[in-house]
Amino acid sequence: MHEAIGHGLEGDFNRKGTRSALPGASANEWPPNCTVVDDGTLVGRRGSLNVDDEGTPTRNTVLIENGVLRGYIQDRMNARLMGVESTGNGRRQSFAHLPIARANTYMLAGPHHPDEIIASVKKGIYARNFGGGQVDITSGKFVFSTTEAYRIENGKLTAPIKDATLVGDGPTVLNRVSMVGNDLALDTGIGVCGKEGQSVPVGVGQPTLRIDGLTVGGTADGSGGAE
Amino acid sequence: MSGGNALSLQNGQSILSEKVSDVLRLAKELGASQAEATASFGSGFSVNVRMREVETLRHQRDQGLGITVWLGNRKGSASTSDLRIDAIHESVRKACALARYGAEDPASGLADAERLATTVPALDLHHRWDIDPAAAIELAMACEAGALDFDPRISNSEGASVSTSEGLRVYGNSHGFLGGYPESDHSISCSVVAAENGAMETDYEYAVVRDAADLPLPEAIGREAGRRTVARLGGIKLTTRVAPVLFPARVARGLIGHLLGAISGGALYRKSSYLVGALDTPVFASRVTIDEQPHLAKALASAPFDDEGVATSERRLVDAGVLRGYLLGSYYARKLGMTSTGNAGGAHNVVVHSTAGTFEDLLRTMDRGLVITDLMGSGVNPVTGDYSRGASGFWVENGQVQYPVTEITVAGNLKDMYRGIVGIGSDVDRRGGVLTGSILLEQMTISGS
Repeated sequence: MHEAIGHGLEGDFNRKGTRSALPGASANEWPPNCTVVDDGTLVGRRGSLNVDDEGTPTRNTVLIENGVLRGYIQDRMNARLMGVESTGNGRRQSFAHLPIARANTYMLAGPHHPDEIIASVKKGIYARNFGGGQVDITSGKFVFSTTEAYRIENGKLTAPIKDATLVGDGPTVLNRVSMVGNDLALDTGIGVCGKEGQSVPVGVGQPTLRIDGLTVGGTADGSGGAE
Repeated sequence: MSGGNALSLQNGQSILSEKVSDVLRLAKELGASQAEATASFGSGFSVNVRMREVETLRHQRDQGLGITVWLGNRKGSASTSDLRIDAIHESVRKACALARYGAEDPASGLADAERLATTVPALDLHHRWDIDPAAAIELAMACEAGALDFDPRISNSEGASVSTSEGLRVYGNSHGFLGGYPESDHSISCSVVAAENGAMETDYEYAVVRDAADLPLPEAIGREAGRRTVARLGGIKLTTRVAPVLFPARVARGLIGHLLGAISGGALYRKSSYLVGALDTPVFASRVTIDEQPHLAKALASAPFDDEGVATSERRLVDAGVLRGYLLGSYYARKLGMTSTGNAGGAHNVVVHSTAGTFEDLLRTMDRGLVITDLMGSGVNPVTGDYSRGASGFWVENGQVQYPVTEITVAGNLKDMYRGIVGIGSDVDRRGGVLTGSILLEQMTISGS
């Protein structure tokens, strides 16, 4: 969520036009089952704040509603330059850094039970936990390392997979979201986002998603892609 | 501010030395058996222009004092950015108070006195750049123009930056060591966006040097940023395959960087390195020799002594493929039953010997394979050596670049990758702490469509 979507909806990249054409330029380009919010007000969460580092109260900002792009997350400078309001996302690592837009992005739950999603996959990978990730905002290409993952064969979890890397591009992957789980889970409180040399704690969350195809890298046999 | 006398590069050495001495004196008075302090001062500015307009102008100035005291084997630390005498004394008292709560640790303490540097060799690390923001903006504009005007497909820009900074660091400890030296860093960088058929790509180029006289022309940096960016357009995904892989010098620095993590004392002591126990065994192809050269004039990672005052010296890390040295500070050296190698704070200029000719020569040697220009993600496991990262680059046939490739992963294990080094080019990249030419690997697994 954070790499594939969150960064792409940050105001600065959109103001400069240096990010790839995410779906959302017009309606229906996002999967209609996707609703994405940025919420800095959730009680007790790692990335939550009462006010951001520019004094703007944080809020719950709807970014994508049932597949339709509604807005970006903003710090004050980029908001002014784009003629909109700050969404309370101006964050800085410390007094010695300039505030920039930072995300606490969550995808809301959908209708499917996670077991139903796993059962629907003939051959694939169930990625339960991710390690580090990175995105090239301009091309939309992103990678994640899995820290806990399993093969899915004929709808059942089988062998564990070690140190696999998933690579894809945001726009394509979003269009391949075919099922959204009813099990929205927020992060366990370890998220750190690095951008322009600044690290800040952030929150992220999503339900189980079925993505119909993403490149899986590794050295084991049969690692070249999932169906 | 220091008692009304503003710190500068000119007076800094004597003012900071005085403050460090003061810390050591007070720590002794308060009953500390050992003490050390590092005082630092830095200043500079940077400009960023974007689409031929000024985006940011930032001035920076910082100072700090870090204090560590030992009461026997118990350690306490404190730091302050306020260098007035009262604040310093308060910090020393706090460090002493904290040490009383510290755990007994026989490995803890200053470096052994006989390892400390007795002279501070002049390494030519400080060159003031007499430039004002207006002139820096002009250079940044010229740099960005070099990129924007390079090709009509350059459609947008992340901007060009010019930055200059200088500073000094003084370290002293209760063995009687007191030394310091000034350093400078100057850089120009540029990052642009190219678009074609609705797809966008970005890339960048930069230079970073100790002496601004060694900077390339800003236009040339911009043109290279433009060339790199346009070259990425139209990238396709490869099918999954096993093939030779060429890491250009800029990317090869990171490949060797993984070695430095794996042979550092902390990782070895915690047994969280795939090279535990690998000293004096072959870990690279026999054609690979790597030195640490801490005293290279003007080099970015040169240092006359390490963070504990231990003398740095030239040594061989890897000799004909055999690992001959670790990177140790005093603490982990003691934990491992070894002696410090002068690497508290890291390695100082890791120099990989060239075995081959130019980048083009390596392309011809490879004949058919992948050139990696960009790696993404953190898929390197230091405990197992497993390596699996996102990549983009170029596919090569008959020793010639054919087309850009993107959205693939490359995977292997560092053990096999290091042993599978076929050649190291003479095109050494000097913009960091690892100095290496391009590195050709026998093979990696490439995953794509």
